[in-house]
Amino acid sequence: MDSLYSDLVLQHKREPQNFGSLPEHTHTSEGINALCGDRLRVEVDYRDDNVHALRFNGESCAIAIASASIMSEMVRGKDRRTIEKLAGRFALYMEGDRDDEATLGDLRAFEPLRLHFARRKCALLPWATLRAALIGAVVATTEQAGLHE
Amino acid sequence: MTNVRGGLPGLIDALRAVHAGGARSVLGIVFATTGSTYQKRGAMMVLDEHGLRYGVISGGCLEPEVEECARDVLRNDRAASVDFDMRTDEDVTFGSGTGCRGRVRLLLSPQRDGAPLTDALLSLVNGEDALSLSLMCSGDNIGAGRASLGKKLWNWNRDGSAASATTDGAIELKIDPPPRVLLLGAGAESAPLQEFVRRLGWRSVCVEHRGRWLDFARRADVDEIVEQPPQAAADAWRSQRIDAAVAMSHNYAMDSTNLGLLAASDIGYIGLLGPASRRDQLLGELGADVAARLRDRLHAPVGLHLGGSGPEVLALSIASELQRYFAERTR
Repeated sequence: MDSLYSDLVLQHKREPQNFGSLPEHTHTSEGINALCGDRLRVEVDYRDDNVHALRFNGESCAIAIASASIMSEMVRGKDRRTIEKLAGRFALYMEGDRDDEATLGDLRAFEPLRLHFARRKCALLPWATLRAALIGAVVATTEQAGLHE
Repeated sequence: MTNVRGGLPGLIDALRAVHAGGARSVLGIVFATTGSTYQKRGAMMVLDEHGLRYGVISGGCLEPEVEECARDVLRNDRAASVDFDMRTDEDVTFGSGTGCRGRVRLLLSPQRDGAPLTDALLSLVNGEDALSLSLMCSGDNIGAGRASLGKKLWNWNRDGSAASATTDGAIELKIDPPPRVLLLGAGAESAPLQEFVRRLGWRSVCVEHRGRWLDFARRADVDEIVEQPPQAAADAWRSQRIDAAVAMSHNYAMDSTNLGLLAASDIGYIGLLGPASRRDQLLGELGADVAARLRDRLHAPVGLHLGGSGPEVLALSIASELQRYFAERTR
């Protein structure tokens, strides 16, 4: 089962959906996880209370790109409230909460992250960036800084 | 470079700094590895609840998870072990992402000022002997352990506080004290060499009594200076454990005296600065007996042949050869 998850994630990493720019975007934000080096930009055409189109770009790890790619397909036609609920459910799913998991579709490919909690922030970065864009925030992050040697 | 020390002395500095403010720390100790790993058995790191981390177990890929686990250890005031298995495809995608195909197992032990394991490490850093550790790394008694250093003995339970605890099935580790390097003479290469000594976590003792060269030793901030001529200084360094010595006085007569003194010692690594022809002349004058006693230990010209010239290159070359010697010695 784990290899099925890996295959799906790697497929989205190799051929990400909706990767690129959206010149006609109405909302945008930058997602930056400075400690691990993930950086991506989300551009959304959000009108009449739903997502008409979304593009993302930047350089990130396989998990962040795959998550952004899957997200870009899932949120089309959805309103902000539904996106918030989906993002919240996804975060809980990675912590092991299996309620309503069918609603998560391909996001279930990130199930192994229940064991690799340090990488959850990578999968959540695109979602945090999209949520930031929709409320008008310029930057989003899903990591906390520490004091290192 | 900064004045930050590496290796065990740096780790002790970090432990002291955290505990000085009354805070607790978490000591991470690698107790088992398999395959290709960044660190090996005995490697240590210090973490605290505010995100401070000294030392590494990987190139940065595993540390975020270690930091999370360390927070749990402090919250529960109880030791835990972490197992990073990087040998699977799943780990490449979802886990560390390193692709190293190794496995690292780490014990995280809560520590506070005066904790037995902390005290044992403080004794080790300036000591002469290796520290023997028995650590419970699994089961109900995880984190309990015992340490011995010479005649000193420490025992602790699973929360790290002093207590006699069962250590049946414990993992045994031996932690060596920081290598101590005897530098016989100072010069322009002293400062860059001391930077390597400091960053690699070694200790240095420099013998120098000549005013002009003494300034080099002082500016280099070596750990200890013996301001005596070679014969008189030997009484001081003979009483210490010395792991390696380098005759580097830039003076023929002084190097000759020092080589004679080193030949009579049991120091395993003896380096001599200067060209091969100078070495041969020195050994010829010291006689066959001294040359025979030095033969298997003498590295002359000292240092790995890296090419280039100047004090920094020389220091890098000497430090590199010393590192190789220390690493091979512990295998």
